[in-house]
Amino acid sequence: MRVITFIRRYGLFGLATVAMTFIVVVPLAIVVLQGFISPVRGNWQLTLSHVTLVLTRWPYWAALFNTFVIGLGATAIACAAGIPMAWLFARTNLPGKGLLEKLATIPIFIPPFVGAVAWILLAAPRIGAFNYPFRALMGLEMLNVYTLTGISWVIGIYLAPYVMMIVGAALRSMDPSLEEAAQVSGLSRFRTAVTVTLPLVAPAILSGAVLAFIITIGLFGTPVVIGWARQLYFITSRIYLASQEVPPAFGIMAVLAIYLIVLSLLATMLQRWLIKGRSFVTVSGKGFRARPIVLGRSRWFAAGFVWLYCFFTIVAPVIVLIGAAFSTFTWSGRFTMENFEYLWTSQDVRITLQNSLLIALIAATVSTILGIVISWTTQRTTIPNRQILEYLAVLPVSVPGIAFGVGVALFWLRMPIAIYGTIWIIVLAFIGRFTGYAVRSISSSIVQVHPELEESARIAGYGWIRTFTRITLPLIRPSIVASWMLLFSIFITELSMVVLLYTANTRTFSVLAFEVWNAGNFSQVASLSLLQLVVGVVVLQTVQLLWPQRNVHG
Amino acid sequence: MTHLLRSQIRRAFAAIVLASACLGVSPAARAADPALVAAAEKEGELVVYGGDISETPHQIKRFMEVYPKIKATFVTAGGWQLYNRYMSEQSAGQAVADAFTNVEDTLLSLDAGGHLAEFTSDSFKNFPPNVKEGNFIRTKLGYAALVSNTSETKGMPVPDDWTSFINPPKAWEDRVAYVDPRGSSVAFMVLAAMYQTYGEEKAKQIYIGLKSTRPEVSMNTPASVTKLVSGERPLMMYILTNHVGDAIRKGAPLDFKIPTSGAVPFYFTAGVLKNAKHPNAARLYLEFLLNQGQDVIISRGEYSMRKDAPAPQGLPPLDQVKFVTLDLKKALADQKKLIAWWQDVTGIQ
Repeated sequence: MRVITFIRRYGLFGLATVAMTFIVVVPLAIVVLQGFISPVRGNWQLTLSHVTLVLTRWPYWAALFNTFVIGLGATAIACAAGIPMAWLFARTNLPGKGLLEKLATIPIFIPPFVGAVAWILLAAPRIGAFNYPFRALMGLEMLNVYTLTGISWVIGIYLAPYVMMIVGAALRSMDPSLEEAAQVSGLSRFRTAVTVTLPLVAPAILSGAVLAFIITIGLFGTPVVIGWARQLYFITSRIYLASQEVPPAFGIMAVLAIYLIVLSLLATMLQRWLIKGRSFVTVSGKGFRARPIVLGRSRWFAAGFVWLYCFFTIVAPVIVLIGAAFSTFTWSGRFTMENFEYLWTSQDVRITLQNSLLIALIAATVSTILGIVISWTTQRTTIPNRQILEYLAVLPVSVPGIAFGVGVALFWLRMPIAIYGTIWIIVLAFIGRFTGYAVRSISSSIVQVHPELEESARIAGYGWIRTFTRITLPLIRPSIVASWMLLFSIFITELSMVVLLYTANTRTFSVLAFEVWNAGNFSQVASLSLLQLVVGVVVLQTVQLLWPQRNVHG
Repeated sequence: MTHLLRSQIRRAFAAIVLASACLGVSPAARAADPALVAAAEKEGELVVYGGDISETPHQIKRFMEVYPKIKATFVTAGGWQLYNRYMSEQSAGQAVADAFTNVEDTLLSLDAGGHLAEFTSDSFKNFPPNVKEGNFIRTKLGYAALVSNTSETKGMPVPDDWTSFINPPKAWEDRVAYVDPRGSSVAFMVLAAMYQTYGEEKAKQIYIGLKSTRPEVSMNTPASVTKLVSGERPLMMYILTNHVGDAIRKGAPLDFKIPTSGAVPFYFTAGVLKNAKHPNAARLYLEFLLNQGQDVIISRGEYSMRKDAPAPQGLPPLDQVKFVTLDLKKALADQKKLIAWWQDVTGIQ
């Protein structure tokens, strides 16, 4: 009997901890260990030589500085665009908000390196489309994407939907009566939003900001595609350079990965410190029905802001992509259908798309379920040391994909289980590295649900499973759906880990696009990216049809 | 009637001869050993690690058309990335690759490490004697030369030799691109060729001159080519024949120029990996590369290694191309030293 009670109490926690140990701790430990060992005549010896090398050479300090700068810059831009959009979509009568919200989510399906290449064609000196008017009128090149500001901009605008989705989910789960009370008390709509709404969704805003920061510092594609050309190196560029050495400089890669882990831990600690000791409960037993905040004339200005965002992230890059996809090369002025015909005639496209969809669907679903388990265990149980699960989940989020991928590959290569060479190694790597995103999003939503609702259900005789499925789950559903979509969008375009883990039979769509880009065929990359966009939008649309993002009624 | 028939037969015969000449070998020479084909088909699979990113998919597609019973798959990436991947897999006993193709540097290293199986073929007779080097074969020849985008360099002097970069004109500022030798095999070969051909001091002047143009240093050659054809960087220190052929075919306004001192030559190579899971399929793939694969190379506007192959459209016959000397084995032995020297000269760390 005691055993059964023990299993019921700790079973899920234990299972999740074991799973996270295998898919997170071991690969990470392998990566970190590489930073402190060195082969000497066939034997491994402990050493501090890699740490010393990284700490004493200025290029690594410069890379750290650059990484920090774009981390802050991109986060600021992502929040500046993402938070207002979340509020406008969740809370106001913005004209055409249904369509605009769908449009504003699309950028997450543009692979970062494709967005980077598109923005080179838009804002590079000499050829950037946005530079033409300045050059024609003033003879000046006003925009230059090859700067820290330019890189922060390109990363930030494409991360804004992530912030928007997390904050939007929290806003939808929030009882609007507090805002209504503020307005009844005479506060303007703007002051209500700034002084009431924003502080209440602070956990979600901080989650989104920390997520944006962590994604940015671990991003590989954009910093390399734009920065490398002007010798702007980042930690991930340095890791890539170390991986190119023969044999790969695993020690340097590991120490640089540790840099990113530390940066991410600092960001997470800052987030915790900022919300420590404050209550963010806004969903209680009291029912509510959200009424949209009626914007006056400013709603047209607000809609203009969203349209401008969509123009910069979708319209202009997609026009560039369409133009490129119809061209023999950019910008030849010669048009062809060859790159579109390739989409339906190539077996490569069909197979890699199948692989990508399968991997993304499985990994996003498992990660979300694991995220729910971890969030609920952490927030709603009294199991001792339960926070450890959340730390384990969040820990690899900051580790660059390329470094985490090395850990996963080295681990499974040496395991007797035949995982290497199958899609499962990619699925496990995704779950290990990205479940933290689901935990962040879902936790911030559970925090908002007052425990009294669950306690009432338990008193009424519900077991914990029924309480969870009938009470908690419906209340946090917006954040679950948002989390799944976020993970799916990441997985369908992820490259930095996949590029190390795929084999001939498990190539993904993003690998194919990268191969084609590597072959210098940007016109074909453009057609592939457009297909990826269409697939992403179709999946997104299907999910939203099945689980519409509506306000929660108590 | 008889005259008409004879005329038709003559025309048909001429067409067959012409087609054979274009394809380069007689049909008999193109058929692989039936026993090898049977053994490969019994294995049923083939995994190729291909460093020639743009060509490998075309070769695999054609291979599967010729041998539909063999499921051929591939991984393409930079040569040294593939090399590192293979070494990791091999050391863990989970190697998946059967054949390896890339420019010569990685194949030389694989062969020196004892990772390649012996390969020989009757088809060698259609090639010059240097088609085989150690345990690998040379499938095509390429070279690096100078290039400019004519629509963006009107009225501007363009380089005619590697040494043109020693004192670059002001007009070249922010217009030159070249490739980082840390990430690209061919960029490293060009660096080594500069060092070996001109000596340390003059090679240094070339790279210092390049630096003064505020060049773009791309991570790989295609990234630079994209910017060359778009006009963003209309001068490129070097372009490879396998890239220029494709760009010209698509109508890019490129002026491809063999430097007066000579182009930098390199071979694309292929080998059967010693611990291949599908060794017969791998051998058949190399056999294919020496036969039908050469047609793919020719159709893509590249220099085939076959004796009777024509020069690609828009490029000179090989006997008219002057080459600089490149001792690749020596360059590979000095690789770390050369890269460090380049970093020191350019300040790129």
